Amino acid sequence: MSTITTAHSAVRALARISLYPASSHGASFLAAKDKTRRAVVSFLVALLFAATAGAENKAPGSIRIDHAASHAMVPGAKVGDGYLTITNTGPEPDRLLGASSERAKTVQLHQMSMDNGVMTMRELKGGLVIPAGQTVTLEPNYHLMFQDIAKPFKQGETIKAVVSFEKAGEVDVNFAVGKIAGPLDDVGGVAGKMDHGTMNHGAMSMPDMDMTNEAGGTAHGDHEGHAQ
Amino acid sequence: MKPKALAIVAASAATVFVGALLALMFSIYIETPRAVPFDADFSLIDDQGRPVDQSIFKGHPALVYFGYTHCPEACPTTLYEVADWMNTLGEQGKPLRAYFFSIDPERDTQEVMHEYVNAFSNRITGITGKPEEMKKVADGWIIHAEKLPSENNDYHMSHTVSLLLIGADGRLKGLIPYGMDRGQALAKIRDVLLTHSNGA
Repeated sequence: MSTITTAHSAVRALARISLYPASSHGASFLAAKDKTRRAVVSFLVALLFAATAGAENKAPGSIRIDHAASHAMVPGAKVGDGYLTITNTGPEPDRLLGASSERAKTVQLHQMSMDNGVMTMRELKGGLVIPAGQTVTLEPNYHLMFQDIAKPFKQGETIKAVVSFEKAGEVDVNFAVGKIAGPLDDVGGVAGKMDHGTMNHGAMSMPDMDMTNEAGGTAHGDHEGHAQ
Repeated sequence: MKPKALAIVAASAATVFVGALLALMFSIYIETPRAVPFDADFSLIDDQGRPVDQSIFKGHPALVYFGYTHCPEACPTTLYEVADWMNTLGEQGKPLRAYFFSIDPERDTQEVMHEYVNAFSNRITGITGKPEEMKKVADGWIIHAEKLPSENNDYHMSHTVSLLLIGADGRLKGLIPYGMDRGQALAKIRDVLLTHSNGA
């Protein structure tokens, strides 16, 4: 758990720092550099994931979800987002297929890509492969997008959703709602956990997830720190 | 014989050197952001319904961003950062303006924009209006914005997510690429917009 957390933050920091240099260039110039950097970052991320994967050892075919968090919706905004970290602790690859929630008519899995300073979001129809023994973080390249929301997400609440996988089936995930934008490190904790085939929702560890206020988030972070 | 060979070598070396120098100069030229003059007349409204035209880019240095309120990630993140930068710059940042132009003006009405920008900061002005007028501004700054249709008649926008730094003279002074580190972004704003006393 703590290993993953550390790697997760490191990857995030790495992606931010490396992808976007201090120097400014014309928009067209950004493209080539971006690609090279992205390749380098991907490689480093892969290395990190490979390193953390060894530390986790769970039942075959199990999927674990951490750091499920959403931003509070800005007044006027129509869509909500959802980020999570998925660890496949089993020996076989699985595939994230999609998600659903009572709070939104549709939930799409999106892929973000940057080209020449232009950002494009596309629905990832074929799902996202979670390789065996690896952790995939949906930020920053992927996210869930909640659409047609009747009641906007508010900071401090929890959005219940069901995330489905090709092999692991449906996993209940609680998204902790943080501030309107910026990093969600302070709210995203262990959101859901399940072992392949058992569908034992009762066994999912999601303590205190409904208490996603500032204090709750901090306390959770401290706990993780001690676990190291 | 020998001097001749030497001369050939020297001439070749000189040619290579000059060639390399030209290549270097060209690459620097390509990489240097040029102060693109904005040359378009347009007529839009701000989030309080007041008319906005091309004169908005003159007289104050400005942070200018093109986005939309259905934007899942880049726009809220950027506006959140802009609000933070404006706060952090304090007194020094007083002359600075921040404009959020909607590239999705059909859905982003004046009311929607008003609520949206004010959730981040009351120093950010939302600007919307007729799509064809907005296109003039976006094209003027070479901003890419494109509708990507999805299911249920919905669509997303594919768009330029770099923030424009525009001087009080109405010229582009630089870009802040999406995701730039906070310290670097602040240093850049100070450097290109606030230290040349061009803040009117």
